[in-house]
Amino acid sequence: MRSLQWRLTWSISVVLITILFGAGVLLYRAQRSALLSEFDAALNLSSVTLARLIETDGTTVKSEMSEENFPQFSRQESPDCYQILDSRGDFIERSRASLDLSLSVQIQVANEEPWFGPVRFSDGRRGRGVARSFVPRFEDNAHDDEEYSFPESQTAAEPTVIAPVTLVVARDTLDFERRLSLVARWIVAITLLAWVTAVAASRLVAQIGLAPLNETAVRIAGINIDNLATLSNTGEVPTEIQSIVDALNQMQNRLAAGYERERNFSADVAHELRTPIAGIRSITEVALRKPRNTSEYQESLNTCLTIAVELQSIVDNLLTLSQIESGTYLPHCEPTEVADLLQKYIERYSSRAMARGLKFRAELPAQILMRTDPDKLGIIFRNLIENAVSYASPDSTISIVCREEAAVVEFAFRNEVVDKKPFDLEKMFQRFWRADRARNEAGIHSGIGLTLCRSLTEILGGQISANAPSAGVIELVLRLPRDLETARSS
Amino acid sequence: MRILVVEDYQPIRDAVVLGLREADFAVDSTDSGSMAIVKASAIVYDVIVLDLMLPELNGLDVLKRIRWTRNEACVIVVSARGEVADRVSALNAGADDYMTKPFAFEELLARIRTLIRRRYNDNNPVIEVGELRVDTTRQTVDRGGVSIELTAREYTLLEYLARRAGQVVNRNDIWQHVYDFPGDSQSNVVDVYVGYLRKKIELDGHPRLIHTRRGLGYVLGEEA
Repeated sequence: MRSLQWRLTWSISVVLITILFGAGVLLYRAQRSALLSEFDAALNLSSVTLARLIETDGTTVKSEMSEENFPQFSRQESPDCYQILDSRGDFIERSRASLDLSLSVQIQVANEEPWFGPVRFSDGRRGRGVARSFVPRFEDNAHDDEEYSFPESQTAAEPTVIAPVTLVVARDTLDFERRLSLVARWIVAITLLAWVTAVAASRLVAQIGLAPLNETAVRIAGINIDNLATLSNTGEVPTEIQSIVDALNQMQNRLAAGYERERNFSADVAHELRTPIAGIRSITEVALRKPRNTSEYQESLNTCLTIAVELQSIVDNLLTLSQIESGTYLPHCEPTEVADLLQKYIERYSSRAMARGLKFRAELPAQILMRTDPDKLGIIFRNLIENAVSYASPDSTISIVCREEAAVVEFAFRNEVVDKKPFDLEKMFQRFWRADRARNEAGIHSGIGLTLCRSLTEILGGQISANAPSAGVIELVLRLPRDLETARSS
Repeated sequence: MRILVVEDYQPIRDAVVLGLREADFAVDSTDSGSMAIVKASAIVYDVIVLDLMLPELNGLDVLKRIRWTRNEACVIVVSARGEVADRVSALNAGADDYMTKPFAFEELLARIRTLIRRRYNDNNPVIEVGELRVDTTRQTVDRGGVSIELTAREYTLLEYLARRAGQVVNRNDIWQHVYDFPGDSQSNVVDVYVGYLRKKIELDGHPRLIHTRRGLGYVLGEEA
């Protein structure tokens, strides 16, 4: 099935040809029945007329028919046939044309009702005959030279009892079959013509009926990433496909929103990568503008290295986020000493913190034993500490406090921020959102660190939230199950 | 020529400042929009290189405030945002040029020089005052075909005087456009550098080019 239109046309064609064929057969049968009745009526009339001309005087049976009165029995071409038989099946009289004897003998007439049925002429023609048994009309002077004498036993024993005779009149059905064949051809021709006309009409109707679908298909074909307009407004399409159009429009809106998010994401990523790349390019171009001493080259290379590390961090975060969203970033669980892990990241960022006059105040137990994914937890710690070091007010303190419960371990990262204005803390976990849209003196930031933290925290079975205990203070609270496997199984 | 670089990302700021200083420009820099407004109101800059994404006050607001105070410095906006809407809004806010990061430093330099030429109504990169030729692109000076070697400060001073050839330029103007180190126009730094320059460009047998207008300033030209 190529198309809906083709399918509709095909289905309608099959149904129509079936109906027309059935109607044709019924019509043919009706016509045949009518013609047969007409044929039989003519035969019957002929046999009744003949029967009236057959008379007996009690011993003999004679007929008064002549060829002049009944030319149909004596004509040269396709003559009709009649046979008069006595009760024993012997011929009393018959026409020039005769019937196949075997068939004639089979004709049984049990009562006075005439019998109609197919017969075969002795010359091979097929025909239809009528047979009737009757007692001939009694006439006293029926006996003459051409008379038929009843058998001796019959005339001697029962001279007054008149025996019935059987009259068979038959006519070949050549003309009947020719007329029937003509009727059949007309029926077939009319049926085919009606079928072709109906198929053409159904195709046209299907074309008109499906035009809105085709228009919708053309519109859908014209939709691409750059053109995600909705298909059509309500009222412009038939009610039958309005639900499809509505569903497509909803899907289109979802796609448009998705593409918009992807576009924004790509634009933000490109934007965030441009600044560090611009830094590397400016530093190298200026450094290469003229020969310099070793320390100047070293200084330029060190700056480029710092930027490269920042770039790596951005790219790592982006890749991790991409893996999380594709569902391929699954945790593996192992016993982890979390206090050491956290301390490692605090030390890693201590020099950058010192450069901004920041101090760390970590209130951690000597040991925090957890069964979790240390790699993913490390990424969370790195981003939270980097976020605090980057956005904390200069010369302030970053506080990291751990609180242990039976099944949950909580880490609170608290720091002061420069901008005291309140804002929607939940936005901090949105991609590329920053309270201050600019970078800061601590370096560049992709704006996806906290988004990544939230995704990873969920993978580790925990929650992360932000709150503002007082004006200008931000606290990020990370709550994780002590045993990830137990938490997942429950 | 004095330039202000407003950029919050330190590696870019340091590299651009270094490159511009090595190209004989007097350069100031800041990482904050509010400080940029303060500096632009205190010093007459020829060109301001302005980043759009700045902490507290963004670059577009800085640009609008600078223009609101009728500051005539040429402004080149340098931003990581390269969409047409960003360029249009910056140009409509009063920017003279727009560059997208990452950019080639040589292109930035060329655009700065173009803006400086436009600012002084001189489209020719070679300034001629009598026999004196100052090639602002190659930063070379010759007089009557004889090449003259100048230090960066001397060249900057000569280019500024050449761009305002025939006009009396007072010490404060020279100070503001040529020197970016601490001090003020009341010191004798300007006089000292003018003295150095005279010795190099006023060759024996050639007429004087730098004339002193007592109490007013200096004039560069063949006629007093």
